[in-house]
Amino acid sequence: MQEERDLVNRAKEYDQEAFAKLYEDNFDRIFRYIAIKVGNRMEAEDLTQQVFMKALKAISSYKWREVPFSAWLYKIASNQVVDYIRKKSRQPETELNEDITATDDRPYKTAEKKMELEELSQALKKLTALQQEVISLRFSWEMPIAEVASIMGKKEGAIKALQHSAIKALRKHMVVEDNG
Amino acid sequence: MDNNGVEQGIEQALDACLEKIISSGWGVEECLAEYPDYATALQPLLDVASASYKVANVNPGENFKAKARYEFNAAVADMASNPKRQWFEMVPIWGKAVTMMLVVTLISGGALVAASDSSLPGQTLYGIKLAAEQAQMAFTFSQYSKTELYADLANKRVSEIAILNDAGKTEEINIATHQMETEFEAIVNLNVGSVENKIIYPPATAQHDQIVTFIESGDSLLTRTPDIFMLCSSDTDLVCNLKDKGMTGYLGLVKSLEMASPETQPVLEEALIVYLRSYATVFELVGR
Repeated sequence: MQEERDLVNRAKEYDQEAFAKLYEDNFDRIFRYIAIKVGNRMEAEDLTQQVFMKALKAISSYKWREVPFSAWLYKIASNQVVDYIRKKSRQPETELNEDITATDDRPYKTAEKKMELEELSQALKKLTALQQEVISLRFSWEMPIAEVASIMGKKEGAIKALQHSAIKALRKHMVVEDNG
Repeated sequence: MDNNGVEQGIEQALDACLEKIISSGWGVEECLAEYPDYATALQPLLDVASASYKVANVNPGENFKAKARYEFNAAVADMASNPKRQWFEMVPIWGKAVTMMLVVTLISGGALVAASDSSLPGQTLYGIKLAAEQAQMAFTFSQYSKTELYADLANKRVSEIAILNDAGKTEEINIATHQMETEFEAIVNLNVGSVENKIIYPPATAQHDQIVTFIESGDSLLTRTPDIFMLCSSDTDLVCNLKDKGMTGYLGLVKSLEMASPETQPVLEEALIVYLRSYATVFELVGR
């Protein structure tokens, strides 16, 4: 933690080496977190880049609060996704969404079937906001339960229960789609 | 054990298994063997969780990562050279002046700026058009994006030259050519020393000689692709984009040249030479 704190302090002084390390450490997981939320790799790439540009602009106001730096990046990424989804909801359906609808007609065999990113993203959208967040942070960010609890402001037990209900709901939606 | 106890037991086992799947690469079967009492309840959940985790474990494309890293490093270097500035402070003094001018223009009537977009060298509104472009540049922050925007502006000059050619305005073509050269100089200033391991393209002077030979040969230049715009597998995204833009502008100028009158032909040849020579210089800096 102290090592990361030193890195962040150097990054606040626009030390390129420190920024490069923070960038490399976090880039892929932020991409994955966004990709699972938006269900589109190219959109996720653009949004990930915007997250880092925003972080760069805001780094001077960052204050260390004994939580990993990634928690701060997560907040930026989370807001970025919310903005994106809000804007997207005002736009007409895209070809991508038509493709997703088309794949929904195929028989679903839950885990046996080769799942696609878009399909997982669609299934996640049927979960509650808290369930979605737990799954996104655990599966894409690969965050340990304790860290998820810290970021979401809940106890570890509550996060485990949410994780359990989220996976049950995910399975239910997949089975429903299979039967439908 | 009551139902609550069973549920809690499943929750704990599920989380422990997920942790093993995520951090140690365990498979579902290994987890079920670890928790035989809960295996029946765990299996469908772990099947879904394991499949979802595999799908979620997606990585960004390598080309995109390289481009994003390049832009980010450029932005960090930009901030490092002037760390205190906020968004307005990030705009250089000329940019502030341009921005203020645009604000005033917009207050006095935004239609003026819109009307200037189709203006040409020699016309009253052309200065406003150039100022609006500089304002756009002031709000473009990364080296990569600025480079692309300057290349787009150079191609805007090519479009102006085509219209001026139709009208037979030689002096105005020279003005547009000079402005185009200014845009390329800006690209060069942006990219000096920015990329290592570059491929050394033929020097700008060689490009100059080559195009003069092309022109003097009398063959149609539309059928030729200048060496500098030919794509190669090792090109970066920036170089590929610049080559696309360069080829577009080149074809625009060549079409104008093929329809040139005896009066405009010399200035169009000069514009084409400036264009290719400038791109050759740009690729000496950003190509690799």
